[in-house]
Amino acid sequence: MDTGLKGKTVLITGATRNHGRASAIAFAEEGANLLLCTRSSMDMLEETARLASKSGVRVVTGACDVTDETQVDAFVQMGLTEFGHIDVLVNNAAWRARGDLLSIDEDLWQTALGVNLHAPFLTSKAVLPNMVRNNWGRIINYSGISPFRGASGQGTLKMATEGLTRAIAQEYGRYNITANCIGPGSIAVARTPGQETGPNEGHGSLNIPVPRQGTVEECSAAVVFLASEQASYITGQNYLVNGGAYFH
Amino acid sequence: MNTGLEGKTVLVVESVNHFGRPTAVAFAKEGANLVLASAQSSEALEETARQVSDQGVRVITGACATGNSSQLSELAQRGVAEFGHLDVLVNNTMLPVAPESFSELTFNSWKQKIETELQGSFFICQRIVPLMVENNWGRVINFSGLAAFQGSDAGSSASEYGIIGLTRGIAREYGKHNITANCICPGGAQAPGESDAQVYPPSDSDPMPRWGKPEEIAYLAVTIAAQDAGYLTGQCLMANGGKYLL
Repeated sequence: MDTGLKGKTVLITGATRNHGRASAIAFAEEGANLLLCTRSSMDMLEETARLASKSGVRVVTGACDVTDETQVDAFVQMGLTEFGHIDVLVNNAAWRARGDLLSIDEDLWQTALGVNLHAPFLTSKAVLPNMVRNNWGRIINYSGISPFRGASGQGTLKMATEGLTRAIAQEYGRYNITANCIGPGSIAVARTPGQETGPNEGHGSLNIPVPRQGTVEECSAAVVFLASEQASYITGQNYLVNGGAYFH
Repeated sequence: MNTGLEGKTVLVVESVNHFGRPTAVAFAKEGANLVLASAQSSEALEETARQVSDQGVRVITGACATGNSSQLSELAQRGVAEFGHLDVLVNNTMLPVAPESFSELTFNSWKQKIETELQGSFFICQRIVPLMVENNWGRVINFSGLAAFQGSDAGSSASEYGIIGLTRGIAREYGKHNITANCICPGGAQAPGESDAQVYPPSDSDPMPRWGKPEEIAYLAVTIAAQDAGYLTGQCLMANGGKYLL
């Protein structure tokens, strides 16, 4: 299938490992050039770039704190200078608001709010003018399983991200710009210490129709599809990749 | 219908604006005592209190800035001191803003909306739910709206959908304490004195082509809070005349 992504520019935040790295490689295999950022893990980002470059595409990397308006604007401007256009935005960077209602303190809330919700706001704001000019664009945000299983911290922020996605979908469909979420279930990933799935977040059981954890490649396949030319009439949706853990 | 709400204590966050006042009055009609908060003028707050008192129940009031969980927590503690327990939270935290296109919406305006409504609601629930855990009974009633579903201005859509996530989280985490959490999602119901920021006028193509009435929203809050609604949790009650079907 020709996804129509050859020569497009794809911006992926937090592309150091896991979903971000898998998506970078998957887009590169479709011939898309990559604009990748991380806040602080440049070594890992460069490894992602090296792996993606094997497909013969151009990869530009940079450090960017996606919760900082000035840094986001500067990074996107740099990308536009390098590539001339940014066509796909994948807001992959995430910070887990681990815990339940009573255990999440102000600091954790602020960090998770910044990375999960403010960042997609800022990156979308920064890339949309170029997408409008090109009359084409794709924005892909990450929701998850927490909205369905219930988790005060994660579920609140993930559903807020879905709300933002719907607002963008509503406003920009006329420019052939779609905005969607993917909602991974329990996926085998490496996690930063302290960022493991919490006991109340409902990920524990694999007593689900597909009785195993998913892979990041199974998620990036959905991301690539949502970015493809073929997905041009899909917008404002949340694509669940969860082995049937929740039917929606 | 006996709602079992007589003698319960109901905290109404922002009991002047949006559906706060009709909701407070509806609970008073069921014999619940009220703790009323508002960021509006003391005259407006006292008007709600007067209407509540007319039903023969007890009421205390306090000024609280919108989304200020510390002030609200202090008021709730006063409520517990006065009435002995706090049973129902009606979280009507709203920061009405004029809808702006995404391209016009500044980061500061966005943050103000999110931090007042969504973050405010999170920490309000964090402060109030433990008071319900103490009694092994409680009802959390949040307000969301049509913007969450249809996509509207980004701040409203994100905040309103996020509040549904918060509702589901509380439902999951506190069900074992006989605490339910649900969301009322009005759309096209006219709140008394509401600005024109977030309204959905009736259209001929709507299943019910008329405005919703404030008491039709307030009734839902009382229904969710009722003793016999104890198995209803984590849900959205869409009160929009059929404008959007969940």
